[in-house]
Amino acid sequence: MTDVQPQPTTTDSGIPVESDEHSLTIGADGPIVLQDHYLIEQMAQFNRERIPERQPHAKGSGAFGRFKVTADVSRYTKAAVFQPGTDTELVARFSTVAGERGSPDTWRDPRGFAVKFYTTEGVYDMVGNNTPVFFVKDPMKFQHFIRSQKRRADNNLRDHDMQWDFWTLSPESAHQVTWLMGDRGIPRTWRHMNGYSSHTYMWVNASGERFWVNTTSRPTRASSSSPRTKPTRWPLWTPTTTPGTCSRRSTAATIPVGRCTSR
Amino acid sequence: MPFDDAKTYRFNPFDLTKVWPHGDYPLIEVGRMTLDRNPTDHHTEIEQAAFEPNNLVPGIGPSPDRMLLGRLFAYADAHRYRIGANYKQLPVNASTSPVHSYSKDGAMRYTKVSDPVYAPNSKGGPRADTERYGSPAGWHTDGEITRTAYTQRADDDDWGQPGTMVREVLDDEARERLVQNIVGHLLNAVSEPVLRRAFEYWRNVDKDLGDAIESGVRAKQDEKDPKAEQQSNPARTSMQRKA
Ligand code: HEM
Repeated sequence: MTDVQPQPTTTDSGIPVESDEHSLTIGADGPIVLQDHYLIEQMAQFNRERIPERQPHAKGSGAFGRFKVTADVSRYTKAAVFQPGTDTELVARFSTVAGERGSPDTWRDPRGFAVKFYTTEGVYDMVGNNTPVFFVKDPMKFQHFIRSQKRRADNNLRDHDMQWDFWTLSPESAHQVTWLMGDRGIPRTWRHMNGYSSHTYMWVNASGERFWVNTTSRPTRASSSSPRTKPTRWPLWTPTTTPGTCSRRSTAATIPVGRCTSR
Repeated sequence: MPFDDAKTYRFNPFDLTKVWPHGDYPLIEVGRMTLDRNPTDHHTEIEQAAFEPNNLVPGIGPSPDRMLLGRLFAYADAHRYRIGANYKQLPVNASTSPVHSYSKDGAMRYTKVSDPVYAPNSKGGPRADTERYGSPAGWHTDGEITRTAYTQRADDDDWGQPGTMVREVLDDEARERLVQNIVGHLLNAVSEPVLRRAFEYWRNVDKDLGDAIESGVRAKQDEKDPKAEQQSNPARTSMQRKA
């Protein structure tokens, strides 16, 4: 590799720079001058690297791939993306919900399952979770629910008292909390998760007939999680275990998506 | 589910806290998703990816699920704030089929807009193909404007489906793990009144489950570090010693 000549460093405007290491000074031991716009560009761009993280689902990772239709569901939908034989490029992102961008992947939490299809009739997004239900049934309660899962105002810590306070005052959460506290609450890797639309959507066929549809995608290998039969030794702080796994393995990953309930 | 079944199904099929039993509505295969390429720049390809449930294509529409209807607003709003007004121009978000919209200007716009910038026009600008795409995926509705819960149906209670899951779907080992997970979670600084409500909550799901959870919590409640066994590691142990 050493005989490959590297490209000359440039500014963001493509102008070759004089040095990667030294700022512009008056004499080797003197002050920096304001006209060192390259140093200023370094500092200013650095200060603007971060964008706000997603409010929920901040921690995630993704990969690109394709969706190939293997069956004929044209009697249920005219959507171009689901016509027999259609092959569509896509990007998928998997995430935890409550944690920040740098939070551990091992937290007990539902996992997001988002797929963006680049179809011939525009972008189609399927934004679901690894569970078929949810904690609340009215969008008025969503923001409060998410806050109860994140951090307290006073000490900035997560707080199980706050979580259970919200859940036990919201009986509609019982179904999803049962999923969450079971094996699905900590999937082994992104590759081992089901993905659900959770919501019911409408499909319309070419003659205008309408159907209600829930979609499910299942990994070709059985989904698995981290059952805690024996004491499991989680480190207190776990860096990004699942994205690492995804990155290593996604090359070979084959996940059938969208086996749909409809009739 | 056939369109008309929804009106008379035994529970509200649009309630996001319920599943449709596969016995009633079996799965039908559609296709296969394969992931075979990793991003090379997480920020531009994943962090700035904007997934939004309102991106529904012809042939797919929403349902009366209130949660879904709320989400149809929330995501694009989040993207305009988090990424910027022209987030749909970024390669990961851009449509690969042609875009002929009337949006213009805004911070960091770079795909060029051309005249005419308004519709209707007689200058050859894009025109909606109402003939082909004119019927929104929708349904008939009417009623008084209210702020209330969904209309209750016979099987619309909150405890039934989780109860069935605990009793009929989980095996003994999975049920035992469920108890242990909940007990462990509740042993993490949950206050007494909330604890009592939690036992009741689980008894409503399943009487035996609730009882097992209560006795599990009561047995360990007074220990200084009730979860030490599950979570022992050097950092935690040394923290406990210092505490
Ligand atoms: C009223 C209910 C809900 C509201 C208001 C809401 C709102 C949001 C918002 C604002 C984001 C961040 C979007 C961004 O910045 O890119 C988000 C992310 C996400 N939400 Fe929701 N959400 C709701 C319910 C749900 C439900 C029921 C599901 C699953 C079925 C879900 C799945 C996701 C996923 C997977 C992401 C991450 C998408 C990605 O990977 O970029 N959300 N949600």
